Amino acid sequence: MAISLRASHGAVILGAVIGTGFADTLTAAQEGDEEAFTRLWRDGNAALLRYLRVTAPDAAEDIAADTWVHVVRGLPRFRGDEAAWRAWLFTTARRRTIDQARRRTRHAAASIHDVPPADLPVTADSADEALEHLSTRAALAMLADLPVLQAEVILLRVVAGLDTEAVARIVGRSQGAVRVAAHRGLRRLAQNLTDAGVTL
Amino acid sequence: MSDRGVSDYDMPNRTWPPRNDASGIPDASLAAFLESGTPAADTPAALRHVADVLAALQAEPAADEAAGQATAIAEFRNRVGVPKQPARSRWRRPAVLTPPPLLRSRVGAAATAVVVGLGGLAAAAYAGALPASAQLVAHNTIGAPVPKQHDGGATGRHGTPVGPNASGHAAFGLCTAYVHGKEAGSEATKSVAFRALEKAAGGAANVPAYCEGVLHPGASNARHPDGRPDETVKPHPTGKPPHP
Repeated sequence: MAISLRASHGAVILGAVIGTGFADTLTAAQEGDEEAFTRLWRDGNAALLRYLRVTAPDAAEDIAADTWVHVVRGLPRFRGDEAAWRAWLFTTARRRTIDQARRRTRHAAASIHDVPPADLPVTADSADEALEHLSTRAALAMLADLPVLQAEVILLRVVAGLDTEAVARIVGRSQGAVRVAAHRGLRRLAQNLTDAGVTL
Repeated sequence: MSDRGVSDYDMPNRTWPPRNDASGIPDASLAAFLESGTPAADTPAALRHVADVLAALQAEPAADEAAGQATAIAEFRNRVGVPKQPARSRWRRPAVLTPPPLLRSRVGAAATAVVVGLGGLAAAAYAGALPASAQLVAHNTIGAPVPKQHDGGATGRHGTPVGPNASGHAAFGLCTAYVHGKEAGSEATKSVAFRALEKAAGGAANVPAYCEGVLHPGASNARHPDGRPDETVKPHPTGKPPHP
């Protein structure tokens, strides 16, 4: 059974949502069009929050709001395509997170052990149903159980929709290190699912 | 994997059974999975459940993920946004405070012209070459000579300026302006008025000596017959006077 990430919920999902209309949307927002900015915000904020709920679980909402304040200030001067926009958004979020981390200690808000069994994927022969039941919160909790870099890289690749090169710039590692972290994270995630009782 | 003194060859060579888990997933499968979001046909079952997790990560935004919208838009309105109905209201800035770019450049050019022109104006004022009213203002502000009836500048037949009579009463003002202009390196010393001064002095090189005689009659030529300053005299133009 092949599972498509993008079609699994039958709805628009995160990552490169605006597409071909991005340039016009950005220009309009830069000229003060509130509707265009709202579109950018709606496209980016959910991904931003999911990233932050793993990397800065105690202050995700605050950091997301702080990130948008900085992005709004720099909006008139921003130049680039949608990939650059998302990279800028997450780079800003990461810097805000680092600033917050100087004052706080990282504590994961949730772990896979806190996820109710009903939220976990179940057996292979009912995988389709499992998709319906697995919540975003539960998925984030599973990511939070990974080492920070592995979780961050997976989130930036999958949730932010960035390629390896962009992720490498954001986390300050080589592209090779990013690939290794992503692969290790996926393997570990698979292992954790096995250990949590998901029948293969 | 060896202990001290134990050769690797002496260690038991056990074959561990492969784990029936995710550790055997090849890198190529993981890379393809990340790129496409879809596990390949031969992908281990464990990775297929990972796909479930990643799909959940990409689900539609939930209600609580839209909570900060009002704050963000308020910030946008404050920083970038334009009012939907730009009325003639308090939002309009007074033009006096922030002139448009073209006007700013013109103001800048005018200011530059005033600064450049001041050198020539001062020269004319010291030469007593301004109209009587302007000369009176110059007299009151920069100590230029009082306005005179006929020592002002002259104009040639066809409107060509010929400058003041540097041999007459204008000499004092011209020389004062010349000295100030030289000190300031002013281009004004090349003006028509100064050409008249040079003519009266018998050449540009003679102007300092000529002016010394005009400004300090009876003293300068005796002290500086060769035009050089007296090096035995140490002027203190800005320093403190020596204590007795």
